[in-house]
Amino acid sequence: MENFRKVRTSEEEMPLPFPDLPPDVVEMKVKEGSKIRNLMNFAMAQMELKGRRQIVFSGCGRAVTKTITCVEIMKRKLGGLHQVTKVRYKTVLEVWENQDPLPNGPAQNLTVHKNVPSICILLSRDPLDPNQTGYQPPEPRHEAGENTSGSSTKGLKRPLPPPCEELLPKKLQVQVSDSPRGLGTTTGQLDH
Amino acid sequence: MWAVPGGRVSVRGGATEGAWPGSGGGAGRARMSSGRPAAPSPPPGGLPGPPPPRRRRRGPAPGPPLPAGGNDVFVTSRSDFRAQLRRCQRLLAPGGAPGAAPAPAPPGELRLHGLGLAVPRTINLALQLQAGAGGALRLHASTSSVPLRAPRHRRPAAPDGHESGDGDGEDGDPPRHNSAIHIRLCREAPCA
Repeated sequence: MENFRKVRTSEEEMPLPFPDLPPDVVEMKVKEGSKIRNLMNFAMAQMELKGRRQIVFSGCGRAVTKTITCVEIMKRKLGGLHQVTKVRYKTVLEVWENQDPLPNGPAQNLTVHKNVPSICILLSRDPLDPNQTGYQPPEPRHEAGENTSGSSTKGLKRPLPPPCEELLPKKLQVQVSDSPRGLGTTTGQLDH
Repeated sequence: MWAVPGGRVSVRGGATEGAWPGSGGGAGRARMSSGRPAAPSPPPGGLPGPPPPRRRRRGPAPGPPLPAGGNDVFVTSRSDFRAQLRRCQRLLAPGGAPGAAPAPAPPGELRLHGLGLAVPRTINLALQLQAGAGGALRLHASTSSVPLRAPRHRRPAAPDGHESGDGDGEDGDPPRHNSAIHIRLCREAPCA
């Protein structure tokens, strides 16, 4: 078995476990290597600019904790969000290939089916059915205000930029000493 | 691991271990010997000697009080999974834990709490319990953020020499938060 190497990993596609979701609902698929900053930038932009009412975060395996972290950050920043949490198993397929096969033998492949715990969290600005399992009401407004007013960057190393700036082309900032504000900007475009 | 002259330091697990507020267990608690010399014996003349030096120990942050009664299981990634499963099955069985006083929580209800790296294991436990009960269990999952307390040696010293017991980051960096999941399993549906 020491000659086997993992060549491919795929997850089984499963429908979202929430009823009556709009077809264009944003689903944030959190992976183990996903950056929280990138996830939150996109998610916040979707929720604020496009006026969406619902968003879904999903993750499995080692990404479960990161999924919960993203949800908690969003609840702290927006506030007043209704939450429904569903947990279930998800099947992950791993394909292992023998890197050192026998000279005249066929290529040996192993397909491993793993059931890993997964989580799906729905956040909604609109009230949801409180009787469904996994429903969590929004936190009281004064608690959300205290958390955000004191430090909206709790749990983050750097503050998140406003969503509108991320959608505009990046500006090249050049410090100009004779400007009245001490800092001037010249517009330029950077290749991403 | 770091060397302390005249003492021995043992650090268990990561920052998430043993960070449950109010938990009185010893898991994840790091012990550091002060390295101070033994208290001098009182002089032969019978005069009272100096008071013996107090030995300090780091402990978990004093957090909010635990929910009263009920079957609460705090899941860590250090314990054996099968042992955790057996304990949860015993608590869910009619009668609860042997020799335990009647709990105010309704029978057949169990609450699992997982913090940080233990979140996937908590979900796995809950799903295994549900699978073993043949669908007679209902899962109700909720998420939260738990503020972590900085270790004593990293907290800035108070100007008056007294060590503040509240390490919520007023003097320095904002406290770190860790994601937590709370899963309630109950036999009747819907859960109250």
